[in-house]
Amino acid sequence: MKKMNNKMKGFYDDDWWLDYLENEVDSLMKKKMDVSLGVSLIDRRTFKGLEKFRKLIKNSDEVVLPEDLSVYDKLHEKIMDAVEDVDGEIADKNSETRLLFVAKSRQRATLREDS
Amino acid sequence: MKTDLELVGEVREGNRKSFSELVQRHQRSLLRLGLRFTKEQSLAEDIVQESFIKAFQKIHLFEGRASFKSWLYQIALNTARNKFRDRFGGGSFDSVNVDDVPLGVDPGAETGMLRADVKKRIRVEIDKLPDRQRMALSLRIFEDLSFKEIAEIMSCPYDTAKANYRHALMKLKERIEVSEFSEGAHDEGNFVMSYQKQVSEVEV
Repeated sequence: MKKMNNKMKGFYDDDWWLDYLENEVDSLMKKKMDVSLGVSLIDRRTFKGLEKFRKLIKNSDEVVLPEDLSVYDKLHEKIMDAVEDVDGEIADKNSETRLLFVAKSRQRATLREDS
Repeated sequence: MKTDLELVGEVREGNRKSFSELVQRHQRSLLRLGLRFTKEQSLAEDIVQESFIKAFQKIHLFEGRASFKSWLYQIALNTARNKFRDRFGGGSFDSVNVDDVPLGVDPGAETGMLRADVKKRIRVEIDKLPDRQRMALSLRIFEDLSFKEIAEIMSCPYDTAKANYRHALMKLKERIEVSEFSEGAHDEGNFVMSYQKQVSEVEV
């Protein structure tokens, strides 16, 4: 009996039900699959199985963000301090480039005058 | 409220406050991403900081074809990869044993519904997935990103991002279900019962 059940198929396979679960089917297909959910026990099982499995993975998440809000304030401050330094370096580089450009232009002008 | 794109425009014009706003908006999700891949808070914070600095330096290269968030995630993932390489001597995420990496967060603070053994088993199986499949799965399920965003972050077509996610999920399902039916296959004697119980308890 178990074997027979395993061999039974619904109207749609796992890939379709996964698309359905992820809202990746168009509205027409969704309507068709909604009907299937209502009439096919196999399809319902397939879909529910995927839905539960996805939830199970989601619940296995080990990452917990720090609750202490000061962590984010400090991080923000650290980032903006570093950005300020970088911005200063960029400005210095730009002014160096500008100065170099002016110097080179003057040099070219002098060379032209000399020739 | 200004959009990310508007803020980026202002940053390009030299407005540092707008960048501060972008940091406020995205630092939490970036920290979560960092924690997911490094398991260590100080390392994750370094990744966040470096990523924002790189984003600031390269903001003139941001074309706006992808969202700012996707672009930032892409930078963060590359930064995390490089950090891992430096720290663990040339290995990728895949070659790092998660159990060897100290946790920066208190596991006791978790409010998860699953028993530790089931959670651990799932995490072990996720860690065994190929890098790109694991990334697609993590970005979709844990970070709640759209496939469009995942494709942008992974620099691949939309369908490839979806396929990576699908393969990851189906592979996991198969592996966990195989474990479920092969009694005695694991050290955790009551894993099977525990898994079945947890599956039936999950609220959908």
